[in-house]
Amino acid sequence: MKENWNGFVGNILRIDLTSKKIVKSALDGKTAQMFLGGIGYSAKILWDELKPGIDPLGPENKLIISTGPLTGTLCPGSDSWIACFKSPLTNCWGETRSGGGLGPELKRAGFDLVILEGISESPVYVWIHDGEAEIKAAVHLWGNPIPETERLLRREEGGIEAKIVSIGPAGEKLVRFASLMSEGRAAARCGAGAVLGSKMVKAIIVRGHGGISVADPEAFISVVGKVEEGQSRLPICGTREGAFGAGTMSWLPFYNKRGVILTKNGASNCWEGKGEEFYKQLKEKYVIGSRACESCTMGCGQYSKVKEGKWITPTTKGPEYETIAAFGHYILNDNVEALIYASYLCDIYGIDTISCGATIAFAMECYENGWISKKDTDGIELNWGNMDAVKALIEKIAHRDGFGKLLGEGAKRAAEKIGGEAPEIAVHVKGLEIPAHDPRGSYAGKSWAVQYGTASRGGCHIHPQEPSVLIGYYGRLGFKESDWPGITEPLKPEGKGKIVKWTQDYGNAVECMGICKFHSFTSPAITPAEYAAMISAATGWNISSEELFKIGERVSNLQRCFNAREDIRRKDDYLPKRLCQVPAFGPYSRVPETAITREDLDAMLDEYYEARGWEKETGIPSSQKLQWLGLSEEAKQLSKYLS
Amino acid sequence: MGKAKVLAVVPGRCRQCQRCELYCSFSHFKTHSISLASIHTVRVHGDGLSLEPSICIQCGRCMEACPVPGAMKRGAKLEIIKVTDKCTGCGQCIPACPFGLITINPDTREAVKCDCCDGDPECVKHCPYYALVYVDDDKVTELTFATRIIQR
Repeated sequence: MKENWNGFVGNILRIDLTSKKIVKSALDGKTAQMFLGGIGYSAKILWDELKPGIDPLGPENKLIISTGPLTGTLCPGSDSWIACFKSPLTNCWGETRSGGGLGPELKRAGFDLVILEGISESPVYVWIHDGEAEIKAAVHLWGNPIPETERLLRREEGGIEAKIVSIGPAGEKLVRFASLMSEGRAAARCGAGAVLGSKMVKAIIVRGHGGISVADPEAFISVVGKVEEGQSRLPICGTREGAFGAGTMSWLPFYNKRGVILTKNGASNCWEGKGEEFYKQLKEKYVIGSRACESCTMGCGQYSKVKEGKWITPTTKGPEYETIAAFGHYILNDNVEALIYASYLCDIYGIDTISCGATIAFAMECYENGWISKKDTDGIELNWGNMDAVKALIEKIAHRDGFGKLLGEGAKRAAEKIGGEAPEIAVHVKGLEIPAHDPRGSYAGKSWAVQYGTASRGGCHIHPQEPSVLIGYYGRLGFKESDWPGITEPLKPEGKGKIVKWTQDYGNAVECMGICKFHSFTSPAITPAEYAAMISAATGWNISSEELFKIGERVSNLQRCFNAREDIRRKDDYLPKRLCQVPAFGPYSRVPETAITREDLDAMLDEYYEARGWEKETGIPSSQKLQWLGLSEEAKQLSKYLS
Repeated sequence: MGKAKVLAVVPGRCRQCQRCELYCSFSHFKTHSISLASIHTVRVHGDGLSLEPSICIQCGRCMEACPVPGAMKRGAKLEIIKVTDKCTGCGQCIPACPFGLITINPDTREAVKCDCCDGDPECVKHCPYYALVYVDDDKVTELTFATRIIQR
């Protein structure tokens, strides 16, 4: 019997690249009700189908491109597509999302999820169109940078309206932090590009003419209208200066002042004056326009261009906040033109800018300390802020050439190879390099320590969610200060575990629905109640906001089970040493409270595990908790594996 | 002659979010479909950023091309051209549209064309970037010209 799907389109596309077999199947109703779509449904598939301990770059790994039930609808920001896989960078749960139009287009083509499995012998691309899929030879595309790949591919299939996700040379060469690129936007973290590269899939191109219907159009559109109206009155929406509408780069002045940007490989959390300067220069000289993802009311995507000089670039997406930090603060570079050029290089080669900048910063510190010399770096002088060296290194990393081979493994593996004291200065959690949200700052402070430690994909600020969604907006979400002890004291460890648990559950729920998480910052226009109303009207299921949080929690737990199977334990949830020390310079070097002691970390993790219902000694979800979440089968499988 | 109102684009504001397209198909067909929309944002890959959406200006070429008498009619008050139930879905109007905005609804086999939501266009009401307006036709020049000057 065919189920009547609303919100979802109801189909899964499974592509076996080894046998070139394409199977279309229906979405499972029970799984969809338990997990919605996105990371939730994918987590269930990967838990069921991946064996523990497999090689992330081998034929057993699978990569799922997923959307949620609200993707492609009028719900503001419903543009998400999320890739889930076992990460080659962290060897545990990997997820990475991006916006643009790929997710909605995939649903219009008739699929909620695309599962890629096996390994192709020669380069291929996948052409998905209106309920059909084909595997085609991509020998002629292999080796091309992203823009050229897209240009050539558009000539063959789909034309200008088709949406493409592709990998660059870095993904082909299995650089462990290679990205997926779509419409200039990146799903960069965790090395999804390398997984696709290992499968020899150069690109996926999608075109669909279908529609996405909702169960109750009247109810749906009335909530959407209310949300839109609320958003238009908020200072962080629309086209205003210093808002999402001015791009993520507009946070630079504020975040720099509050000590949130890692500087000089994390030696400090603030480079005085530079945040303001970068933003001013970019806005005045280099930004030439902005674009929104599909169905977005914020339109944060900025485009920039260096028109002349040594660092000339064509129009390029970005640079975004994280990229500016990675190629600015991390490596002490204050040349904005060179920064845009580095961002551009990473985009065309398909490299994660955060991991790339962080790994280069790590190499620079090793060079400064004399742990590596010119002999190791192929004659490159790796001084702080030397952008000629950075340019050469990005090229080397993308093509896995010489010293780039080592750096392309990521900071953790590079540090282990260099040896000695090097692992002490590599700033990562579980292998994923830390982005520019410093736990020693005065905005969300120590909450980051818990978030980085416990996020399923490793050191990440926004997966599952930024703690600042609660810390910055608790009043608008209807909470009182007394509901969340420690919420106004960023540098005290109290209460952080509970805050992070709440925000992570919220973030997971939003991700499962297929919505960009920036929109969850627009409270009170959007609060969990609005999401619940929209998802209920769209799917026709009655989902309360409590149920939404339960879904989020279920996903956190299942991902943790996945990680537990990959031998992730409490010991892997600690912050790197570097970020626990008082900043070496800058205004925060005079604030001793910025230090995070082992006791602080222990207390915060204890609180977090307790809030989660996980075993404190190991950090593994307890079977009671899993049963409460309706995951008894998974609990059995986990305990069987652990014993 | 009565004053006509027209749909117009304010230059330089569109961020290609496509909410106008989604609203268009949702208000007419209760589905989120780009291909059933009668307005299209223009997405260009590469260097061009400042492109305006394609909108129907009710020019009447579709009506001239239509071979079925009475299948397309221009309204008396607002001069909106509408598709009537006499439409056979022959598709003659599709190449006649200079903006490529007409499609055939695969379910009803009727041409889909902008009807300005009977004088209250959803796309204008809901554009988050205020890129669309619905104004008296003699105001358009003034409005777009002024915006261009401000942008310099």
